Amino acid sequence: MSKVWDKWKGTKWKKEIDVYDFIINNYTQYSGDASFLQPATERTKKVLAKLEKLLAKEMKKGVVGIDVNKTATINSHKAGYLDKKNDIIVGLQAEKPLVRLVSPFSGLKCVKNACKAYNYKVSDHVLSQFQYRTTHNDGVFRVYSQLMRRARHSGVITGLPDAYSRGRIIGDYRRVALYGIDRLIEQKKIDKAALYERGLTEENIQLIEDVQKQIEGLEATKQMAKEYGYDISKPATNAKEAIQWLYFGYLAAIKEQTGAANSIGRISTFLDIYIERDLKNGVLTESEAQELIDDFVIKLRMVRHLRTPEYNEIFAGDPTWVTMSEAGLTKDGRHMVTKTSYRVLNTLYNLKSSAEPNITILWSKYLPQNYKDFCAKVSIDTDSIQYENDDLMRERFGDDYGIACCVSAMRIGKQMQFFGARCNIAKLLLMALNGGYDEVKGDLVTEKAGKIFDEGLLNYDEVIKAYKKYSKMIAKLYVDTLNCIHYMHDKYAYERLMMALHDTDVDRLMAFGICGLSVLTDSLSAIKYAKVYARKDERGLITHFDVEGDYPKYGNDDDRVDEIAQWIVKDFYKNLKSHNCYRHATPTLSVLTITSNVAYGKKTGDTPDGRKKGEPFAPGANPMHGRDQSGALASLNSVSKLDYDVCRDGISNTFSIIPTALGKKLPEQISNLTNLIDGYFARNAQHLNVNVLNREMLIDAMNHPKKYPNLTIRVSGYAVNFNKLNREQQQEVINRTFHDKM
Amino acid sequence: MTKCNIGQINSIDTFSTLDGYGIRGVVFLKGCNLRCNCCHNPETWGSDKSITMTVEELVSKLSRYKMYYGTDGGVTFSGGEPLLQAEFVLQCVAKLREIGISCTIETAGNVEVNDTILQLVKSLDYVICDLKYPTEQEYYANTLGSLAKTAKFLDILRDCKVGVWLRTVVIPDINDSESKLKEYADIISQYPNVFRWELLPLSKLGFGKYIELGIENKLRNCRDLDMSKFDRLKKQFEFEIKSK
Repeated sequence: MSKVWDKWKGTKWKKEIDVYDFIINNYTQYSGDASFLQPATERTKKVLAKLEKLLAKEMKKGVVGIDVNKTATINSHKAGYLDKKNDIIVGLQAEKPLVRLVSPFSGLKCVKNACKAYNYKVSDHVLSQFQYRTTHNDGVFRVYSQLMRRARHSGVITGLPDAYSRGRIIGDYRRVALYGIDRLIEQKKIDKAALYERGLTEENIQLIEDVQKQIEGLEATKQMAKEYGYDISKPATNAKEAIQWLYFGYLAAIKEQTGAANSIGRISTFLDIYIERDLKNGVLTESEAQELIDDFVIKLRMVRHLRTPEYNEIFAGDPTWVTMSEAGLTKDGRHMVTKTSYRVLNTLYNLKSSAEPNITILWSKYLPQNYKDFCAKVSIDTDSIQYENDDLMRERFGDDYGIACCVSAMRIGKQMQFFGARCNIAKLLLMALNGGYDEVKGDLVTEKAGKIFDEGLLNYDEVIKAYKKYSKMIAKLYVDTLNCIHYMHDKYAYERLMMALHDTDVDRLMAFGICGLSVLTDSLSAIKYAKVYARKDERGLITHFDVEGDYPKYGNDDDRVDEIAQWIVKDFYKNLKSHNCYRHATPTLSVLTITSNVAYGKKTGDTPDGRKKGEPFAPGANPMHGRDQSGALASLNSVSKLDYDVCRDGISNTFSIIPTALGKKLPEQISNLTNLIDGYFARNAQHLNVNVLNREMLIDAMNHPKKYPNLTIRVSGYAVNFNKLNREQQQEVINRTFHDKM
Repeated sequence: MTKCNIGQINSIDTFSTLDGYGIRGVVFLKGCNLRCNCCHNPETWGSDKSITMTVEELVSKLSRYKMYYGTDGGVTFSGGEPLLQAEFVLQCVAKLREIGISCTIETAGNVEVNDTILQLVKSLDYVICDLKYPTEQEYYANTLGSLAKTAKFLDILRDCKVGVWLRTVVIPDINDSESKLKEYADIISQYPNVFRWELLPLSKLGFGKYIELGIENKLRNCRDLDMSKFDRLKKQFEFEIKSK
């Protein structure tokens, strides 16, 4: 047994790979306040200044650089540093900071386009390597059917990871620190040997090959660490090593996987055990502990992937979703807040606010009030954290799950997901009305042309009947498409290291999604409660609707329409569930878009709710802009009615507010925000993205109103949409709102 | 009795943090007996576009937000003038209290106090009341109401030991001076039950409503409030005694 484990409690984790057992036996709860936190050290400030300079350069040029000469793998690049003398936690993807790597395993075309967009060219060396290598993208298009191509082309199924890497897999990077690479390899070798006992079916042969790839990935990671002068074959012996080992695991994984969201998991309570021990032993001070976390977070903020401009159009702001899941409770009701939970939040002060890493609070009503208050304060000050309902997820995912990307929960090291983008259900309705034709492009999407609805008054029952028919059809196609994608991704772009940091017998989820929920809900409500007349264009397709009378709108806590939304998600999930998923995955569904709702709206024609062609959808499960007219809580209540058990991949809700609408002074704002989150989650809602708008954002909203269609300014007694104010009034709001801080 | 079971409502905002302590559901009732020049809800004055609701309907709607209110929050009846529908509000408050939701009202207190109102104010956590102007003349000139009535209302609240949170809108050239606010302070000093006095800057954001409604806005040419001066006045005059 490793000597570094001597004083730690528990037995199970020492015998088998079980990080959770280690945590539960050894972590130190912290219920106090934030007063112990330390500011950034001079060293941190110096390194940060260096990074900020590079970020400014990146902002100007789009990319700092692209290394087009090598195909990125775990060992492809030599050691890189932000500041060799001052880095504490070391390791970069490329030899130079912020330089992006070329990793064509998932798709060469995407890589070529991205390079071209920034005036780079993939080197002949890399091109020649891929002359004889099939990429994931090649594989998928070999097997895509005509129908799949049509659905993809029309955008009714959209954002599919068929040309780039799928992401959303969280390696249990803690294992690297706790056990060292050698022990992990040893376990994988045992697992591999045991697999032969099961009989060599196609399924088992695939898994055996996977495990061999995993072992190779682990070996490569050890080599990569050696480049930096570290031997990570054995367990980490102190806090600095624990962070460094863990980060090496993550770094190796993302060097060859460029997926949209490569999240880092639930790590702070784990790391705190090492920090606590070092503090107790007097080998680390609080300032040094914070410095370690600060430097680690600096590295996480430097994660870069090569993206095409089209990708950036959908996901504004070059996000990497290095999601870090914090706090939560144990199964037996102990909170898992440690001092490092605070130190992580403190990076938003020490290093200034940032979207990455994507700090996600697993919120329970039983978290210590001190921690809740500090989270709320950080939200108000930095606008950089999101909240998810631990009381809801813990029951379903246990107490060692983490969030991938934005809202996708999975058991760390035990569950993975096959990411599956989303179906545009608003467009699906238009397809149903048009007998399978795409209302924008005019092409037939389905196999056979169906009946196009007559012009004139739409009958609710007939519309529902048609929608159900097309929804079933598309759900099947959607499952088939994802099966193709993930079969090929496993075959040609397997995440060998991420999966090495999972149990060999992993539980798989297949994450489907929908977008346009509020548009479809309001459209069906309009047809049911008002009079909607369909109008055809010169092609004979229904492309316009006249709405007569009013109808209940989603977002006002009105059960008449909220029940329609509930039915839509339930019905769609039921359709998905009736098909078999690749590798026995369990289907899950998300109602999630972050910024892509704008792009999907562009591809969708007029809808019966009165929305015009090209107008953006509301994000995620949010009600449509300006239609929630009963105040914020009514809007929250509407969203909270969606059943998490049919949307296990998450229900995203974005809540925007200016600080003064949360209360006059900071203590009131904090207390109101914590009560608001408690209240929302008491209704079994899953996610709340809290957007406390600051002065700069309001000025930005004044200059770019389209970016903030739903920005409501609340002053005593009434609410107004910020965009509807004239410039003078907006200026007044800005001056007033932030008057106290001026 | 059936008549009193029904209220006339302008609108409901399910989330406010500025109409009492904590998170508040706010019911804006229809109808007002004053015509204040600084009113930002002139749409509540008349009875047009009124939503009719029974006590049960309104209580059932408001009770859906109980889990958000925490220990400080609750429901605020505002307006318009909520005391013009005192019987309805009383019944709502009684029902809301039964299910553990505490309530307050935002009033100008410019009404004759009857038994219903007396019973109502006693059932509230505290009363938020406007102290609009410190002299009869100004009060009438700017609201068409009478200071004496509000003073009488405050007397009764003092006698019943109901806590009061007073509010005054500060308007350029009308009451934005130290000497003027001292007149208010003199009045307030007679009321030990006032635990908070809050000054609100005149907001022009509601001015658009006057144009929409075709109502004359007497303050339309009012100059902007000097915010640094307002801050000084706030520091000098505002107070809040924490144990409500």
